[in-house]
Amino acid sequence: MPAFILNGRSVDVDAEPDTPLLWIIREHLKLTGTKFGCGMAQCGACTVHVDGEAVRSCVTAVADVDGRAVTTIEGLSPDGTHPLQRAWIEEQVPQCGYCQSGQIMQAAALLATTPSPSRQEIVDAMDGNICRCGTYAGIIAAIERASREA
Amino acid sequence: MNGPHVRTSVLSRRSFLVSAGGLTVAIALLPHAGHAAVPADLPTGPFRPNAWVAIAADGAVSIISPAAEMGQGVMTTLPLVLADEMDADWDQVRVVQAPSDAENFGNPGFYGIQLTGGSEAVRGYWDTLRLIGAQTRMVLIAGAAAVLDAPADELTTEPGRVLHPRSGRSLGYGEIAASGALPAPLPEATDADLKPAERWRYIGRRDIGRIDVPAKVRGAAVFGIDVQLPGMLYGAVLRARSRGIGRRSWTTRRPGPSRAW
Repeated sequence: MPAFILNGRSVDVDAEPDTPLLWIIREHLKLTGTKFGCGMAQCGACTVHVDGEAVRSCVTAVADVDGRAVTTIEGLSPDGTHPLQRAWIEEQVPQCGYCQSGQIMQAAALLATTPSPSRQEIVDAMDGNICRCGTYAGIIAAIERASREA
Repeated sequence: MNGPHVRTSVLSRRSFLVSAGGLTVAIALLPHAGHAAVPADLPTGPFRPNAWVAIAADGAVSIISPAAEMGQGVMTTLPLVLADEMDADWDQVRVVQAPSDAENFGNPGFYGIQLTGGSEAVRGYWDTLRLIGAQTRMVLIAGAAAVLDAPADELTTEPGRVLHPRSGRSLGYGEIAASGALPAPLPEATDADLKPAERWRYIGRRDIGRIDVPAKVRGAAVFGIDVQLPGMLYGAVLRARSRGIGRRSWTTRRPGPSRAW
């Protein structure tokens, strides 16, 4: 029975060890901010942090996060005011919004290690997060804004 | 531009009905309601699903958004058009997603279908929303005229308020709603009552944020895939590895599929 820390809280889940972490988060623990996109680590919509590192939860087995700290979009900040979330609103980034949780979690992992990334570093770090609406220019602008204002 | 003709008839002291072509509109003043954030908070009664605007005693204005938000901003744009014509204070506006109800909320510019797409939302609803907004403003002015005992043609509006410049008095929309003073017969709005473009306060502004954005950056926006109902089953297509292979047997782990075709 895998146990891990989810957004600062200990959770035990009754699931097969190879159950995708994404399923655990969405179906067992009912946090639906993390999205299912492709199920094959091809799109980035399911991105969460494991011990601060951005991972694709759709291809991460729950057994692999046993005893580790998982953070989802709901736990990125206590009240939704992480510098990236504020910048995302300022820049009016989302359109449909489906990929945006994953985009923000990927960007947050970048800024945690590289507080002032160059434009190229942003593009490289965000390369695996796909947006069907094409909000890429807004995403880059919001990350640049957050790195300035954080 | 010829908008739909707006006709009014009094339903009760506190609610009225506007028919505009195939569109039926009820506007109710809610003296005691709190902030209306969901359709359940809209006026009750036989015409409840037809409500586009509700004003609470505290000045909160609830406006129906008839179209589906898919990222193009209509959930903000459409109520904004109505709010501009009625001179609502945008900061006091709560947007209410319309129920599925084509009779009342269908797109007049798109065969009356309540369908969002084809760049038809703003074009199709434009005339109707402006007339409903203008109508609402006229009702508020008429209500204020009764409370202030002043001629309606001496009254003007600022966002969320009716002003009587000659006497220096004014009433907030919430105060008018609380007074319950509705004129009979109700005023009718025509194209002549619409604001000229140079008097628009909100239409065309790019600095007004979309109301759907904050929830989308917190992971709180609810998409179809996020809806979970008791006993809900999931369907998925299992494709053959190559062409011509039919289904032979299931080799699934528990819990296996409930049904397979």
